[in-house]
Amino acid sequence: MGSLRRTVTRTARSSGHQKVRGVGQGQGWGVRLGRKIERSSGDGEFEKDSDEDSEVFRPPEALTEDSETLAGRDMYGFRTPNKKGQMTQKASESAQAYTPVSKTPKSKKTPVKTPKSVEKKTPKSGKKQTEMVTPAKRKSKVLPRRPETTTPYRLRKRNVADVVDDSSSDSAMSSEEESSSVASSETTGSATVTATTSESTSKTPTKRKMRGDQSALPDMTEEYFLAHSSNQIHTSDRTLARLGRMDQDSLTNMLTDVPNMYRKECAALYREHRALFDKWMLQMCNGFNLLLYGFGSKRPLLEEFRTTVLKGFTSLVINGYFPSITVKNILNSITEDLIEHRGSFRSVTDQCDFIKDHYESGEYEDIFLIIHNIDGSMLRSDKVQTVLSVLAQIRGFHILASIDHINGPLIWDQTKSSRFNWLWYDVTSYNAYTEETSYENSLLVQQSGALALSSLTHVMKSLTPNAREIFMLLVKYQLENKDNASYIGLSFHALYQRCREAFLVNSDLTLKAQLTEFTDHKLIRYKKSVDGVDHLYIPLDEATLTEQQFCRAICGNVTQCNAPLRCECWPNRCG
Amino acid sequence: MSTAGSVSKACFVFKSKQKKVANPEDYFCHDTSDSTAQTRHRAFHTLWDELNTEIQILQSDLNTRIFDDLIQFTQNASSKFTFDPDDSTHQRVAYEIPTAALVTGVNMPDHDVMFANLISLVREKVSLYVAVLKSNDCPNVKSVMVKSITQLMGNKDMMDDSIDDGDNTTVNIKKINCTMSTLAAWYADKFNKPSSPKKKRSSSGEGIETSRCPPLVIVLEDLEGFPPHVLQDFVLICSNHLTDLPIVLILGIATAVTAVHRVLPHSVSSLLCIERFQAPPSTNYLTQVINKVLMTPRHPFKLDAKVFQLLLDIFLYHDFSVLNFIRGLQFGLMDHFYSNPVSCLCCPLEDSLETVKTLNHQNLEEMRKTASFRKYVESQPSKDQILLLTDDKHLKKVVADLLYSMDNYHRCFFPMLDCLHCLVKKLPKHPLGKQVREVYCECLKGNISETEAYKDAFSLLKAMSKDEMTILLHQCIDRLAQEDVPEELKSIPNNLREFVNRFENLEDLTQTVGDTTGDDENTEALPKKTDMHTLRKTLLERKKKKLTVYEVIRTDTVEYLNEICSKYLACPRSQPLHEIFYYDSASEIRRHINGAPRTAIQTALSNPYFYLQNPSLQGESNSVSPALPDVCIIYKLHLECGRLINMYDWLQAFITLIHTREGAEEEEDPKQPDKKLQARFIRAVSELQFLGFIKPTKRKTDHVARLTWGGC
Repeated sequence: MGSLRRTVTRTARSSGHQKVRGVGQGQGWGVRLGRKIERSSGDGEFEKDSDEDSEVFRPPEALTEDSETLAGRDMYGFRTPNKKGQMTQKASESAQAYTPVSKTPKSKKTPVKTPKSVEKKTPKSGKKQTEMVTPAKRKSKVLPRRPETTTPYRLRKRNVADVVDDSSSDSAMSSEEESSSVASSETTGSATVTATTSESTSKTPTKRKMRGDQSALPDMTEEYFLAHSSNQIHTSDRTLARLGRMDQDSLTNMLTDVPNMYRKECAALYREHRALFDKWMLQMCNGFNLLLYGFGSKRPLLEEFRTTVLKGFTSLVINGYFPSITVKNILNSITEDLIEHRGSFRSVTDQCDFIKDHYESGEYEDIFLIIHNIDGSMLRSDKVQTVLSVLAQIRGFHILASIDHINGPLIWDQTKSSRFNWLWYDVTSYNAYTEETSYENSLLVQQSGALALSSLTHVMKSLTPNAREIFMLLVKYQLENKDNASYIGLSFHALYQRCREAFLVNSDLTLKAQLTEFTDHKLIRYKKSVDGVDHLYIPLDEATLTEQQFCRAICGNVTQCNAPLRCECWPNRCG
Repeated sequence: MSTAGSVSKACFVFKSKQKKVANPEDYFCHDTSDSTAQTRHRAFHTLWDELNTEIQILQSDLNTRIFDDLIQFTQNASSKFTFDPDDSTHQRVAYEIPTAALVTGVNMPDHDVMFANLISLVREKVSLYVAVLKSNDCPNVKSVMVKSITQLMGNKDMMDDSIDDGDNTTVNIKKINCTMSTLAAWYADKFNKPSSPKKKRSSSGEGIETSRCPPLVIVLEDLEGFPPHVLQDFVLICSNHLTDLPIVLILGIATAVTAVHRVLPHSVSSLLCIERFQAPPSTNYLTQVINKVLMTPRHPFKLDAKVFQLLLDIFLYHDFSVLNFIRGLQFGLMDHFYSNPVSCLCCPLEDSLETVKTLNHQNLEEMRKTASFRKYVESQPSKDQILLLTDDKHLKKVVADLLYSMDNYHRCFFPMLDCLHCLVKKLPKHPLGKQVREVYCECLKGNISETEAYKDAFSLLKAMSKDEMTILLHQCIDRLAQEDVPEELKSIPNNLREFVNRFENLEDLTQTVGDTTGDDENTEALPKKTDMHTLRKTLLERKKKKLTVYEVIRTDTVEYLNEICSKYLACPRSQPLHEIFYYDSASEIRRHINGAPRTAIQTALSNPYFYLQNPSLQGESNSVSPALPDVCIIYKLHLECGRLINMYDWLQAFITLIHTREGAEEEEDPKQPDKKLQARFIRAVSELQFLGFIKPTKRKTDHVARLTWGGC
């Protein structure tokens, strides 16, 4: 139990939650407050002498019983991966183990050159399969070995240029490294694998209520620190630069016709959840609020609830995943749209008090707040949650919220979670989080800078040629300095000099005015150097700056106006 | 109106034309074929209302003593205050703010109610001028001042008769400067009228009578939550104006009084004249709630062992909050009536007898289905069995009888439980626990007389001294002599008294009997020659034989106690039709009160079969089957990684698996993978990011950092 809590806390820290204040959530925190306190403070009589030693610590059985809330080692264990490509190995192993209906998998892909024993032993074999690279061919190109962890920024370009060579060096290197450790780890690994296999196959999980693996949680302190002791990062150096990037639109287009293999099962789950609607209403009428959790988007379910059961009731939908939602938005939509109050408030608390007074003095009315992702990044702060918890307490207010982040419940302390008075519902749906992840927060899409590009296009259209050229100057300078790791931007003064030389501005005030437009649209940022001078830089990575679209965004516009652009600043594809 | 996909708006309002109020009954009786739903809903409502009022009365009674002390304190503190600067007492108290440190305990959720009670009491008995400050309203000194002064001055002054005046003051407050001087001026204006007669004050009672200058009470609900500098400044400001204003502070402290010294430096805390008030611990409150609500024959609803244990554990291990315990109880009550069709009889005996008459065939079938009833039928002779299972009229009669006996059982059960608790609570090592709720829990679990702990307890009772024994017996007699004890138990106190008498007359008995036995044993000579071992044996045997009269009586007593305990403290689950009254689905409570979102997500990802129930997903938990949904594959692959994950490798591994599943159609260039696969990869990865398993990192190009450490 203790180690479990530790796990949660650690992960919470690393995920950037500043406040670690758990709500119970079945993970038994506060174990130390237990029976002991109760015993001693129980009936006010202290019998210190004889039964001090007899105080037996009783673990909270009822909380952990039948292990429904605990999945055991499977979930919270540690491992110390010190091999590269373990993932690839796993993938190919699993792929081989899998027997598809039509074809035997992949056998033809196995390179002939790889000796059988090696294939079995080294974790690289999987990678070789997928890449079909034979290292021997390109051995000559192998570069002098670089320390892995510190691939400097300027080297990346080179890496991208010849990934093949990189990967071969990588594999060569890894085989050196691993040859010693492979044997031992292999044996232990297989031993554990077989052990768990026999364990899990012996039980046949037929009902959803029954879950296998009820083994107690081991004490894993040592392993945690072992896993964190080394600073080495054992991963390969390949980058994604060769893959064409996708923007949000093409991504959604691509995904529209991807079939869901388990549509029938998902529909069954959905029906199961739908059947709860009446119960939910009953519980909300009795003063509870509902919190839906589980994997998969809960949007469709909540929307259906709103359109069917809540038809005719006053309701308010709040998209917590929206990247710029504020607590002010929420309160304003209550005061302005629901109460139709035209007036301003001095503070958020005033506004809350006003809402409270309005609803508690008048006739009773049911108001339903549907909050998609109450743990959304903008709602995570303590203040917002306090406001929401205060709203939850107003007479007639009911909250239906969904929560997705694995450490989400940490946003509430005891007081707040008690104010919310949650009832938890597991509504695992396996729906894709289409809406929730659509706001440019995903890793691969983000780097395409589509939002920046589109805003750039718009801003560029509305600007004077001079302003455009100022921006161009900055872009050019940034590209010239792309290999300089300590580049922090062009100082304002230097930019002014350059602009003057190009007859773009006549005073630093005009330059400042021109730059405001860009800073407002987050296309330029200021950074202070050590000596306190403002430096300007464009917060886009170099890949985006050289992107074709980017060129088009600027060139397209610029060519419309007078300047026959100095296209040489973009080395590639500008035309 | 679509609520999705807007790029400019996050809140969508759907306003109904008229104020609509949800009627819980509609949702309770969703199934029209179920005729008892309405009855159940009504029963639920009346029962919950009863319990709720009872709990609320408890709540207000609970802190009476400490509140009385506090009120006394505030009255005393302010009584010395006068406007006369020459008064000697005035000089003495001037620089120390009378402060009450109310140590409330860590059960924060319960405090709201407690402070609300306290404040209403203070308003009623001491002073109308009370300000309540909560730490989350007070990030800086200004807000503290504004909050406290608006509350103090904005109070509708009872001495002003006209409502208009009151309104004016509330309007003005927004415009005035919120400083202590304003407050002092206002206060002086109000009360420093030496000539003013005590008019119109007759209605406010004697509390106000004593304080011609009522104190200004400022309550800080959670001292620990205030920023230290704010608190320091506030205390300094208050102490500066003590000459003009009779300020009294009440500090709510969740931990210990030392918190004051942690927050305030000595120079500031020396300005406070602190008196400590300790609120009773929440365990006391819980005990009372359990006694009043659950361990009583008056309320039909009961919790089964597992549920009871679970709610107790949540209380003891999570928050010490009685409020949350009550909510768990409410949820259980609601779920009991909602999901259990036989619960329509879960009401006071008279009502349930009425309801039995109205039951139709279908309801009776439900009754027949209950496990305890089936057991009961099996225990009956075969002729009755058929009648019970076929004849509805007969069944109704039997059910009524069973309800009677159940009621009787409960009436006997709880007094006996108290007796047993009296007997065992002070035993060494507490085999059955100290608290009555622990004994109760044991009883709920099974027949208590068969448990090890019970046997231990009774063997310990058999070793008690006479004095202890008589005390215990007297306690039991007292308990059983109370009014609520049914006829059936009336004979027990008499029997016990008899035992007490025998103990008291022990002196005479021992003398008469003791002499003879003593003589007998003395005459029995030891064998002349014997080895050590046999000698010891014989001596031990002899000792065993030599039961004193006291021991005999003690054994008799304990035997008798054992007998009545095992008779009346049978497990409720052994009673027929106990399902009507006992709520037993602990898993329901655990799932909904104590949800585990992370486990659910991780299970969904690592073992989708658990949710989807598709046979093709069945497999070992640690293998990555290509048949899994995309995001599960991605998740399982990421479990193989260390702190950083190379995106490219991840993608490649994913593609390998997917190709296996779909059968690698053509030898495509792995360096330019299918766009569609890439899109699926992106979607899965961004979902993992959304769930908080990974986050982007700058440490290495195209890598993400893992945020969890599980999975092997």
